[in-house]
Amino acid sequence: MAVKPNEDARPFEHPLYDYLERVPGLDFAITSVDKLLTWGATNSMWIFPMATSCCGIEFMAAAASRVDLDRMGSIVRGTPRQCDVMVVAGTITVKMAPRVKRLWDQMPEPKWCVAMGSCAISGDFYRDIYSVIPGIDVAIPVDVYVPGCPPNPEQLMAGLIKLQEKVRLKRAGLPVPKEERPEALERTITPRIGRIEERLKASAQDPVSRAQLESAQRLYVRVPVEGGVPEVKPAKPTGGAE
Amino acid sequence: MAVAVEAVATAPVVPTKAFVPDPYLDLDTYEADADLMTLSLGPQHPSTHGVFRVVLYLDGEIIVKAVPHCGYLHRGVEKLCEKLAYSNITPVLDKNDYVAPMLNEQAANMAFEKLMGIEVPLRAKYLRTLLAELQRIASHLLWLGTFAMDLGGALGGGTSVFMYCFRERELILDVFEELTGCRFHYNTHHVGGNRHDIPPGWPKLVHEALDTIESRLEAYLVMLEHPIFVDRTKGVGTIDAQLALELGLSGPLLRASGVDHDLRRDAPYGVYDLLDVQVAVDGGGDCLARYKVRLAEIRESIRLSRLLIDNVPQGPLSATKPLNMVTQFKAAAGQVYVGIESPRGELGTWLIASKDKPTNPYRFKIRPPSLHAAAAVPYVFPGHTLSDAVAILGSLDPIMGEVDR
Amino acid sequence: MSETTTPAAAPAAAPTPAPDPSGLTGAAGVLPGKPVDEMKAALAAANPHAAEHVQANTAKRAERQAQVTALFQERFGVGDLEVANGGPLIPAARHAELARALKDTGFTFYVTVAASHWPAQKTKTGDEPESFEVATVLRSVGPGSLQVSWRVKLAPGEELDSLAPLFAGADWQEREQFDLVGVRFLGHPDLRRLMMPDEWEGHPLRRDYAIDTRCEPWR
Repeated sequence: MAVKPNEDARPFEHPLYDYLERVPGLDFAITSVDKLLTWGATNSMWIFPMATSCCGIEFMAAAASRVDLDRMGSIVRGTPRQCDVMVVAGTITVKMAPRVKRLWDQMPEPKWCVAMGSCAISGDFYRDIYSVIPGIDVAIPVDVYVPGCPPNPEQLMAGLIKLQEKVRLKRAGLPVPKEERPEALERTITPRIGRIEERLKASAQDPVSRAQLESAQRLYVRVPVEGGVPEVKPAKPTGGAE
Repeated sequence: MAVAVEAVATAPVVPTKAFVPDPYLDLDTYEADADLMTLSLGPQHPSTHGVFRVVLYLDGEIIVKAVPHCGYLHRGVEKLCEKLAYSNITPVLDKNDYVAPMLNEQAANMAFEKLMGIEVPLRAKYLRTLLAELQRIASHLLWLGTFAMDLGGALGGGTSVFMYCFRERELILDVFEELTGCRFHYNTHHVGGNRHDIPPGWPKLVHEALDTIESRLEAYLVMLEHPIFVDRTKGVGTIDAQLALELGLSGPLLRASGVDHDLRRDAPYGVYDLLDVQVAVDGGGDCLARYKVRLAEIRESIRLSRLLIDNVPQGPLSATKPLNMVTQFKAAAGQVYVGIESPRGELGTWLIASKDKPTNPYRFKIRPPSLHAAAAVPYVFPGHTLSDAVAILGSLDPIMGEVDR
Repeated sequence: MSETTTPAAAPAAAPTPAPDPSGLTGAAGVLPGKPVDEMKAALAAANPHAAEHVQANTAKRAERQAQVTALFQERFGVGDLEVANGGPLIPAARHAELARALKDTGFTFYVTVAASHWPAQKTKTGDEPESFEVATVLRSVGPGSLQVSWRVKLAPGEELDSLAPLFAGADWQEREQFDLVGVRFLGHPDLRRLMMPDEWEGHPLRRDYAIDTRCEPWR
């Protein structure tokens, strides 16, 4: 993965820093321990399966005998409190979305999210239906998108390897590239319902709608801030002057 | 110690006992001094097989009342199908019962064909029957694996049977992938026939897969049918014949309650009228009976698949021309109902076509067998312990994609 | 299909296979298949009881059909069962009575209920007011299983007798129809929404309900 050098990286500052620097061999030990920890973190990503529909079956197939996620240390746990990765496999409906958000909030940091399958990515052909949310990134931030309907177990495996790469970057203090939602713009109809941030900008004229959306954003959208990703700022109140 | 799994062909349709279930029990009139605990199982719980929520009212460890909630996967499929042309509906329906997509495709396309008056060629009917039987094996294998995982600790961690079952299920998926190019969501049925014809080497693959599965079924019996498994399932979640009929249960659930009813034999479609389907019936009505019936169905499906793959008839695979525009298929105004036997029971399609728009269905209603299985929960859970509830839910095998649609 | 797979031992194909109007078969790489007679003979040899089942089914179905025809004719005055149109129209007041009569006749298996919304429209013959149509399907159990269906037409706001006291399986099916179409069932023990959240407004499967209705803040 090509990563630009981090130009804004400033030296780590701490009162103990000078002292630690003078201990012979400590820097080497710290680097080695850090490598060990990174190795451990990338190879023990425990998965919380947010398996709702068809992709859940393919997720089960990935966890079962032929592909076997255990090979990369990813075991599936039934509780969010023990997990590092949430795999959202399947369609998320308006009735389910608050529960997904709640389970995501119960997971301890650092946590990652994999959107598996086109329903979790964009809602697929259910995206215009009254009860389906157009992609899980409406509710929670997504780190890796695994497209397919449903993706093969091997594709999910590839997605998790990509996620391991991201974890390595983050632990090394390097900027993690923002993941773009895969969309074949020429072939598919883009959802008429935009993201919350877009609608926030669009509805600057209407104070009531804007207030609703802002509260929704505060409640439901967690914006990743690390690695130079700009924080989404709500539109400035213009009072209808524009 | 292996328990003999026998398929009794005939059993009387008689109620075994008078049972008055009360799913609407008023908790205030239950015992006044009882210290009831409310436990919400789901909607995201590994043992609910999807997004299903059951609110349990517990007196100690005994369930007093169970209130199921569904709709967490309601995707508006019926509304979507009203907006789509007949030729575009099949891939949507694959996602309904995602454990047995072949049967979904078949149920809907049979309804379309009946409404349009299209006679399907023999080879297509034959292939559909064969695919349905293979899909039944895969579906029951997945059920067996997840059911063993639900029973959990009693089976030494439980995941071993799950791993073995998925190993065998992959063989069937490979066979389907060779035919259609997809592991599931095949989109191989269309109005008037089938899309993918049998390649020359395919029967050999099917035979290899079936031989492997049949030889490994014996190993499951050794793994499963020991005293602990029987203790966890025998007499648990009993549904008698009368209650099963009342609830509209169908398929293996109905047959495990002692009702001898199978649409493949009793209202044959496809080429089932040429076959002598041995219907597995067990009078037990409990989780063990449901397990026995499903295992017997796997064996029967293996027998039928072997027979079918050896005698593929010649002829065209489709009665209609290849699709060149989506509005090619037009139906006259009318209403039909077609029901077929899916691995979970009677899967039906109620289809209304109006004269205003002949290319789209006016109303498309699916009769989901899983909905009735999920609706049976408040009738079966009360009186059991919490650990048995998980086993019962596993044996009922509701697929939430089909319940909620 | 790759070229490397070994062809199975295919039986001798008939000299002139039937022409295929679809143009989908006949290409190289397709299993040729047996003549139909050979296939039927092979299946019959392996399934000796298949013909018996067909015979038993036909006889039983004819018997059931006669019972149903007589029931509709004598008690409800319906001569034409309108099979192609989803069954005869029955007055709403006699809906439960018919279901009970059919259950006593042997149609003990509750299949489904399908409500549909017909908005008001202007036709050449006159204006049709808004209405709802509820179709019910029952089935007999065992050999010769026969399905019987009938329809009921309802004005907006009119309630239909629930079949839930008669068939416990009707409980959730009717709840679903109430939720999605908005038909109310009289005497239903627990008429709540099934699919949509409790606070949801509107009934999605009505014809005038927009498919992409918003639901803040999710969509």
